[in-house]
Amino acid sequence: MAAGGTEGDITVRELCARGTRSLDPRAQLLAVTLLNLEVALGPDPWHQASAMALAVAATLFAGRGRAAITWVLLYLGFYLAVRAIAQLDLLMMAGPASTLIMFLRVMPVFVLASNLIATTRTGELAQVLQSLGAPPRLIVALCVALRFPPTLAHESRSIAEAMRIRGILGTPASVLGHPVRSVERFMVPLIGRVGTIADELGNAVVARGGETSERRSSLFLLQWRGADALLCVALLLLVAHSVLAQGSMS
Amino acid sequence: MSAAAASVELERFSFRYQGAEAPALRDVSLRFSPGECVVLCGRSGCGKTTLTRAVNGLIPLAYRGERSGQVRIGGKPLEEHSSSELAARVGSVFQNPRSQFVNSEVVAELAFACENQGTSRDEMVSRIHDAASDLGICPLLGRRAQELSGGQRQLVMLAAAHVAQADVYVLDEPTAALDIPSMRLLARALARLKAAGKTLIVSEHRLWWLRGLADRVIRMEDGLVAGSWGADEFARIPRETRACWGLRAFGEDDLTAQLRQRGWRTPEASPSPREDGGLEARGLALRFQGGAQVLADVGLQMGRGHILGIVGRNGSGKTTLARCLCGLEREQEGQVLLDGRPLSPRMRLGRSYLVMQEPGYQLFEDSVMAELVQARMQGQALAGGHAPNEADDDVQRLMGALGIGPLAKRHPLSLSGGQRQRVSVAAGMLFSSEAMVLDEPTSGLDADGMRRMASQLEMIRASGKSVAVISHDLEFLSLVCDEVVRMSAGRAGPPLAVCSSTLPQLREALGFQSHESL
Repeated sequence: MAAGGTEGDITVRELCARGTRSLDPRAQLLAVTLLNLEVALGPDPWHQASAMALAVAATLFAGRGRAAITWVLLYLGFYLAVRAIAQLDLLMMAGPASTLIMFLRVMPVFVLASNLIATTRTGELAQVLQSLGAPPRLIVALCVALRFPPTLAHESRSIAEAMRIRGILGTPASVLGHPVRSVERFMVPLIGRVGTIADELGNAVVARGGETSERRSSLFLLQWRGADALLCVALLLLVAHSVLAQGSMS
Repeated sequence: MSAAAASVELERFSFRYQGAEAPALRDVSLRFSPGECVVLCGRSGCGKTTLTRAVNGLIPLAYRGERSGQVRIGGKPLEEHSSSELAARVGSVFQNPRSQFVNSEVVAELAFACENQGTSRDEMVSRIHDAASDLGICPLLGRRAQELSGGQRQLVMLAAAHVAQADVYVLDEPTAALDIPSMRLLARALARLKAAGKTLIVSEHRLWWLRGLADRVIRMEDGLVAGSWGADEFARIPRETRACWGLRAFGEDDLTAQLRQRGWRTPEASPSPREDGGLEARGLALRFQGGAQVLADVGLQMGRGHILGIVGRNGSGKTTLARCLCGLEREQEGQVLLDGRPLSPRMRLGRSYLVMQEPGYQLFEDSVMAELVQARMQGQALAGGHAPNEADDDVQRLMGALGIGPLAKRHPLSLSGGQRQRVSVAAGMLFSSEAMVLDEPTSGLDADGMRRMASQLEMIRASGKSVAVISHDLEFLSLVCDEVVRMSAGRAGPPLAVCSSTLPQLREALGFQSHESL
């Protein structure tokens, strides 16, 4: 069969050059791990804000400006809500306030994890996991998991629309009036769809040799760059600072 | 044919899924040669998909159960192939174009199987270029999966198998979600692969597009090979016999002849939509934020007791129109009226019911009976009435009429795709809406399922609702529709009566004359 594209067709090499991510998946995996540690160690606002700033910077660096702005607005919104609740000084608001504080604390991890999911290709992830010694089945499971968040978002939207059609999700009052029933009615189709999609994605990964134990390659060059090192060093320093701060407090 | 010449062999192969009562495949012995295209057909549940899984190695890699007999790929037992070796020899294209993309970029998807084989970058780049040229998908290389149509995605999947240099291509109902022009593109791509000596194994319900491609047709029934014929020999089997087997038309000529042969609804038999009120769209226009115009000056009429077909290419605006008619989207211009009264999008919810293409979205309860009772009660509540005391009686009557009584206590998640579709439509019937729009209700259904769906629509018609059906399925449209409207680039054409004399225009409206490229 003849080779070559037509004049004007983009070449694969051009696509590879364009598509080289500014943050290596290995650096992002390490960064997510460090961020988890930091979140566990550093409860004070300064550490939280620093962690969030680094996660947002990574998102901006990956060219995801709109996502970065959304996260920042969400973070600020939660922060202001916590401050407002503190001003009210109502015991009954202690529960919601605690929930918001917990969200604030773990949000940097979500920011960086969502960046990892959005910017890492399945083949890249599989290669990185294999180099870390992950067993083939785990690699397949994580590759499927990588594709899940966007899929889950689409399925959730469709189910919410289906509920609107049936008048189940008519008003906030109807949801608040029957919260358990509303959640159940959302979860039944969601679980069904998630199960089906997981099967289909898993089959697609396996049918393409995803369970291989042979050494993988990657179309896109995996390469540590300055930005990767900078992110990881910054997070390491933040973790170290948290450890020292914990030590001095005790 | 000698053992050495066969690219795939099954020798007395049987398989029972773990936890299943009956085997899905029983004592199957088949051989597939290089350069051969074999079609697997049969009713839903006959074992076609299980056979494809046996060939592409998903049995036993992904599906556990009791196996006996042997499967050989290229003369070597399947168990002796490593996972990546198997992927290099057997490429797969599955039914759902959306959920088989494991990457978000086309070029990454094309490379994935090669990456799993450890192929060098230079080799991968060369193979991707070659495969894209061979299958005519160079314009898609720089695209993301979400930008592609269903047909384009299926072509990318085929190309991905070609990049991996597969010798055997297994396709499991690859056209379930595709329009006619996309099916033709897929057929042309498969023809090129066949000409290059590849083995093609295609499991399908919609058989007409395979007539010029297939060398052999195998019918399956209850896990057994019920018959094997050359393509010409299969085409000569009387149509009635094939229909009894639950099979659809084989070839365009067969499709046309089948449609001409049976009785058609005459225009006089259906009430004129203009006399009977119903749901009407006038001058609908809709543009998504930052996007192109999706609907432009769309006008159509869905009369009471009348079934309108909405056809057109994927991306022509059919689903957006359906969503508008049912209140899920707000138009920027135009109106939707019910019996002459304008309805806002909020008022349309509940009065105009959308049956979604994926029935799994619309099944919320833990049993079929509960689902249908709740649908009845929710519809009444939304219409401002009281929940009827006789909801259970209505449901029982409908279940009896539809033959789904035995499913009453089953959980919706345990139902087959066709059963879920029927229950989803039944829920819509009980919802007490005044109009219904069904989006691709026969997608993935065999001939029996298609006829049952047609019967259900006749019941809906008899209840006096206004009905619209979005479909690419000419057989189904000709069975149920009074008129058809073609959507193209967001505009609706004039209504076309569905009768034997308009069959050529119907075919054109569905894209049978199309010979498009990417």
